[in-house]
Amino acid sequence: MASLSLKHIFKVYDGGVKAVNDFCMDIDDKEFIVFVGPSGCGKSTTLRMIAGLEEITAGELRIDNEIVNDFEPKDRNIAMVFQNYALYPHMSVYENMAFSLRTIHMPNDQIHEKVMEAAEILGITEYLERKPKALSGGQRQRVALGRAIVRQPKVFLLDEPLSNLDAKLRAAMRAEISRLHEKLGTTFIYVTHDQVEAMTMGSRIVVMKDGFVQQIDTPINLYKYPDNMFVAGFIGTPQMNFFDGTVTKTGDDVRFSLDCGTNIEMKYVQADKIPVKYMDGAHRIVFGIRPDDVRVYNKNNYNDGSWAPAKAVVSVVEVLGGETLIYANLNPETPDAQSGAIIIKADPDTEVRRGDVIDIEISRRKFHVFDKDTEKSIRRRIPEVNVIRASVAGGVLGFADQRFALPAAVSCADSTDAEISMPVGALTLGEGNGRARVQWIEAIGGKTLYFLTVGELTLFSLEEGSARFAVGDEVAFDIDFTQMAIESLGVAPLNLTNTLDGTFSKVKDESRKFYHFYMNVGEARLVPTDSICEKVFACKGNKIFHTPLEYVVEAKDLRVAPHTEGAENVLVGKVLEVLDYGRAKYAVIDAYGQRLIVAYDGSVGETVDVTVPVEAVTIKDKTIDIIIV
Amino acid sequence: MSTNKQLERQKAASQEAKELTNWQKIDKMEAELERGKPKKKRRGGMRFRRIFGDTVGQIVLTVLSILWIIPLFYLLVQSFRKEPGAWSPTFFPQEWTLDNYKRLFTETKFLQWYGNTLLIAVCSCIITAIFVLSVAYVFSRMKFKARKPMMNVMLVLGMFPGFMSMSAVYFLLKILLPDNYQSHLSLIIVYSAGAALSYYIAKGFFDTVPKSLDEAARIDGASRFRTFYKIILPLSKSIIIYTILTSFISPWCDYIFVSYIMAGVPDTGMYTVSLGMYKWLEREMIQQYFTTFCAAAVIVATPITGLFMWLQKYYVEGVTGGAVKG
Repeated sequence: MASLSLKHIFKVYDGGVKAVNDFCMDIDDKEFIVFVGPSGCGKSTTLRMIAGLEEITAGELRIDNEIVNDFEPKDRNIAMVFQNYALYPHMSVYENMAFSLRTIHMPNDQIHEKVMEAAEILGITEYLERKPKALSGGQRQRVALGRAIVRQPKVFLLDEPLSNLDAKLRAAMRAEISRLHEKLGTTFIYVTHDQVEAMTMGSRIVVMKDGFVQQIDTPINLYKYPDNMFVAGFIGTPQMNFFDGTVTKTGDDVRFSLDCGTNIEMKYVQADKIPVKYMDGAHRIVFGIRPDDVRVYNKNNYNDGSWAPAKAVVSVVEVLGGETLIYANLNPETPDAQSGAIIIKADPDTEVRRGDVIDIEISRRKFHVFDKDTEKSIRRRIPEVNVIRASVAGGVLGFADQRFALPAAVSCADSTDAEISMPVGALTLGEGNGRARVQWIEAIGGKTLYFLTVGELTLFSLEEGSARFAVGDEVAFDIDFTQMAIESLGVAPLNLTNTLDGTFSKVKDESRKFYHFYMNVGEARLVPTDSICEKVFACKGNKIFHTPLEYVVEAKDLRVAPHTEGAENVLVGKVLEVLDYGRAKYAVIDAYGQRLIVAYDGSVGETVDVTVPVEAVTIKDKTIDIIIV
Repeated sequence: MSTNKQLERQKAASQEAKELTNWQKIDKMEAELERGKPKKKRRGGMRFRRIFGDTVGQIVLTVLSILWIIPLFYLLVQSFRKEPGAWSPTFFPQEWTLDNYKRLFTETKFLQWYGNTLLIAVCSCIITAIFVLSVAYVFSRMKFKARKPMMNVMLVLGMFPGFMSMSAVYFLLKILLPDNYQSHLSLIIVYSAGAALSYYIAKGFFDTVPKSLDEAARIDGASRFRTFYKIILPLSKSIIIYTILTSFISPWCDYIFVSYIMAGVPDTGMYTVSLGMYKWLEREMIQQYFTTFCAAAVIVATPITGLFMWLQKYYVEGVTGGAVKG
């Protein structure tokens, strides 16, 4: 019945503590969204901001395409179930459920009908005359649910509704809430700290930590493709096994050397999503493997090369009946040490004892690799960049058997072995001088990832929409040189996002009755729209006039025109340089001492007006780093 | 035959079990879980210590209450004394009589004074209760810029005795009610105007009522006021009663403001009990009126004592409710 959209939502408390940081999400109708994370991660705050119980510091919250930032909770058409139930103790169950309907002066017979209907759904018809005190925890929770149901809200918000219940009861209630979601067909947003609840109930899960969204995805994708070590460790029981180490590529072979002494070897094809720059034996990485993706060696096990052998010494065996958990260590000399500790989910028939040194097999398919410093996954489902070793000679870029003429804007010295990197989106298919063969295609959430074979290299190309080519096709490709970087030769990608330092000011009208507001960049004044002013004042109040700001605007939104005196809403600047990228030309403009990059087709040295569409500008507070508009 | 019946019964039972809804199964499960929980037992040593402590406490309290009750008891017995005069050589009167009470209602304006005081006390008590409870709720729930400073200012102001402002109050009343500043209305105004200063006990109580109740009501669409009188007030019986009691007593017993504001009023029928009765204690009157005074004092104390005894359960809850998180 309702879709939600959260855009750059921030919550900053008076002391400057940021509880929620840049929360962006679109929620479709009838989705079951779960916010999960350790306590204090901002999940409840986000929920309370959606409910309207907590003010939104900055950002935009829409319910059904209507901005509801300033709406009272009752006008947002939501219902909320609280962790401690929050039932009115002096009212009977019936009156508790009828309270919201009485508030809107609904006729008694209609109230009765609705309450009875909700009571029927939740099986509380027998308790309607009782006071909450006379009910058990589970029953109280259902009354709280009933109170929400009778309002027929667009969005159901549930704040850790099961955390006060017994474990066994919780499991049963979990299933019932899922069933309720099916039955009501409403959007549910559910907050919990229990990852099992999240995994079993959510159609999509938002994992949060310290106010930051870590990852938003379906339960299975979170499990299979965690974005970082936190998500990897938080989702799934027992936890994922992590091992520090390095990775080296020699020819077609890749070897993970773990600090505990174990080496895991595989073919490059099996690890081709890891950027080659990590495979130098020096970058510190973390190798992650789920307990399910390790198995105890058995000669009857089928192995087509996707399982890597290793040895481990058993320290504890937990027989759970359906499965056996083996706590072991990859280093046979230190069975109880932290480094090298591994948990294996094994077949219940496996017979091992403490102290046994066993042969195990680690999956070469379902492993994860993280950067040790950033803790981010470097074996992502969609790789970020293509890294190629290429030669540059006389303005021609060569790799494998391909040759590309570099555009005039990319000028660099010659080199026989330059490492070039570009985002996977910079490799466009269908036209251009390059030739490649489609080796594999993966459809990922509305996007298509192509694995291309170019000579001996594997390159990736990412496109929006479904696949246009088939596996085995010969395709033409081109490179968007604005996004290319050659670190060793000092070629950086062109940053098409302009960031300008500025301020916000007020000037009294000549009639001295009201103020004009301006966004200032240097001496230029841009006139903000009313909605921008509203958002700015809602977020910062009068402090805005003393806050250093950043105006961020994309190059594609800017227009250049020859300079005219007295033009309004423009930045006046001088063209310092024109960059020719073949497909497009860009100008580097000096406006009030700040650098601007704009699509431009003129000559150097001219004075120009850059028109800035204020609606497209993102306003950032530099002091506490939040997005105001 | 009987086995057949048994089978049928069993079948019916299993059928019934099947027909249990999921919710009923959950209820059943919860009841079983509840049953499985161990019950708390009190240890023997604890019990002995408790009894010992209680006994000592009871003894001390009994002695103290006897000490406190003696003057009141003296007042009570003196009100039945037949011999005139302010001083009596014996604790108990030599001759008992009800004449003092009779005289109170026939020869003096006591009944009139009593009515005046009751009117003033009831009116200002209602106004005060409304003021105190609203102010306490606002300070407990709403967040506004002046909240902290206002609370501090009110706390400091409350530390000064009210009669320090007496002369200012007198002149303010003269401005406010130039024609009849020496009236019952001005007394009601005086007693209820500063009432909000004693908000903190009620605020302490409201602070213990979970905020999620307010939030639930807000989401249910109730306005602040509706939340206050539909949700919070019904849960705050004890603090309401406490507030009403305390705000009834202060005008009921007050002498200082009445004596000041009513000073020089020729019509003694306008007096309140405390003012009227005090006149009986003046040197010329005391010999004649002392026993009558005692009788009047008993009658004045009766309604409050009755009220307290009736509502003492709530009163105690109200006083401690703010301090102990329930």
